[in-house]
Amino acid sequence: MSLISFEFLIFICITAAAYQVCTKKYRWIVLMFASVIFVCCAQSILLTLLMALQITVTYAAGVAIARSRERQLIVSGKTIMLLAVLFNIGAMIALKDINFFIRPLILLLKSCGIATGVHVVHADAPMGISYYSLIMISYILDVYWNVTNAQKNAGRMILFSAFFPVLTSGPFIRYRDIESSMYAGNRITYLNLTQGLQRVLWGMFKSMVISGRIGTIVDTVYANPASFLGFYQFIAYMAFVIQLYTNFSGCIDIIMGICQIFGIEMPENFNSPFFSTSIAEFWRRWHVTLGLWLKDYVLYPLLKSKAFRKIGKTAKAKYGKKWGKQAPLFTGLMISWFLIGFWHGGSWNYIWGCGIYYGILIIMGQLLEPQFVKINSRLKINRDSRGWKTFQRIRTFIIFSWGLSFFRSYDGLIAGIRRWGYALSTFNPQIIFNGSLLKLGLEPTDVALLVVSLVILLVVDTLQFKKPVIERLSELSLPARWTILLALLFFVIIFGQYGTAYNAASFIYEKF
Amino acid sequence: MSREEIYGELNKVFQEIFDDDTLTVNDSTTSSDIEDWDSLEHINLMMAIEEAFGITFNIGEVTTMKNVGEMADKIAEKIK
Repeated sequence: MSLISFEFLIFICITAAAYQVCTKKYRWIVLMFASVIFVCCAQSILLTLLMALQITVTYAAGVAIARSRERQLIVSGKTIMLLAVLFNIGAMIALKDINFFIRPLILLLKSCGIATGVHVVHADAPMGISYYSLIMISYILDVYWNVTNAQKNAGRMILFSAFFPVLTSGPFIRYRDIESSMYAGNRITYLNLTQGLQRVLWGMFKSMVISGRIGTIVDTVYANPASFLGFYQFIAYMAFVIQLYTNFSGCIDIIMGICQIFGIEMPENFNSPFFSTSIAEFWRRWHVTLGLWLKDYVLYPLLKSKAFRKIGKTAKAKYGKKWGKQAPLFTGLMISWFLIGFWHGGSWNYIWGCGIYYGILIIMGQLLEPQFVKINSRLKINRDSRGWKTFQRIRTFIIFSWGLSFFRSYDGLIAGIRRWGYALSTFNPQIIFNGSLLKLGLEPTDVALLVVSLVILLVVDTLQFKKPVIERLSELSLPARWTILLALLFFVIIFGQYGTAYNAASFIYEKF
Repeated sequence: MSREEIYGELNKVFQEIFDDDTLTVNDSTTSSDIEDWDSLEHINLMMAIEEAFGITFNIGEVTTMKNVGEMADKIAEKIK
């Protein structure tokens, strides 16, 4: 059941009605049953059972860790925590990314002339396994670190682990942040309903009007790279960033809107990323909850570990105080970026294009910052001027698109490198102005619609950067507000790509 | 160790980490009050505090302290 489908609309209406008629005490139970039904309808019984096993292990581990703290168990809390975390990581890798390890193994065995029965696995994984596994790992660690209480009610644990709006695309929730609103049974208020629906509508505009259309340009160039040389490739790289942003942030807007209707407060996953002046800042504004998860549950534990402290001490003794800080930090950052890439998919196009590439850029940015300041000073550039900031934003967007060009190379890292060969094979900036871009798979009406929609997106995102647009809307007079909202609604209904001819309902991040 | 002594030691750690001999902190100081106190410098700061006071924070404590006042409370609790 996709978030953009008639079935989901009916499902949400029934859930909301049942939620509202129940008393405060039982509302979370409605959401729990809705989540169970959502999961059961979306996948086979076997996959649902696998998911249930992970939830059961996590639930039992949380309770056991709490008991071990009260010295009611022989096994230590640390042992239970390690086993439960390894189980969730193992399940996620085994069910989703096992081929990352099998492929080199097959190659190795073949090169040694050993014939074995090892094959690439074509197995399905439970829906949202990449999301709920990390969410459950954060819960186990938080219980172990004693910053949250273990959930002793199994039903509540099911709701937290499999909450249907966030299950397939995030954002990454944390038990300690969400428990107060998730189980509160807040009524559906007029304010939450209208603001939630506004956010859903905005998400639908981004994903149904823009993402699919701009994706046509990307698909055309990526499907036949040898025919599109030079700037065609770079245009496609940038178009993919906009496609991914409108698709993913649109999906997140729909999710956040649904959660707001039920009065559940969710962490924001996007914070005007295209206003970033550096790659490091970009990643603090893009897929925010994944970055925070990696920082708290991977980077910090690594940096605090004995091994990393040793790296720091050795570097300090050999190269001075500065490297004593930077050596462990950079090592930790590279491991974290590798894992971010790996989380997106066990293949090197993701590991490089959504991981290591950005890690290298961020580290280089830190190392070269003093030189950049010197150069700017010599060139008498005012680093606080609006012109310089605009340059930095455009530069960041372009550099970001280069990394994502590999992410989009679903046919592999090597194919992505070949595309760069086509991109650098000729210098043809004239295609930007001579109408060539109009021949990239879109009808003239679609091009016009895309331009208008991108202008709307740019205006709204610029306004959002300074003050939330929902707040601005609420300050308008009733007729003005409804005119804008109805215009947007009809725009989406008339120009949105949906129905059987399109696959706009499939969100890119659902497959991770 | 009195709260004043804790703050005396904390000030030394902050000055060392942020390379600023004039830096002093109080109960309400947060990361937004010190320009270089970002998420990466935060972990260096916490490890330097651990070393200075001979204590250990778990990651949960590292990530949930809201201001220096909470930090001083945790230190006082651990060195008792």
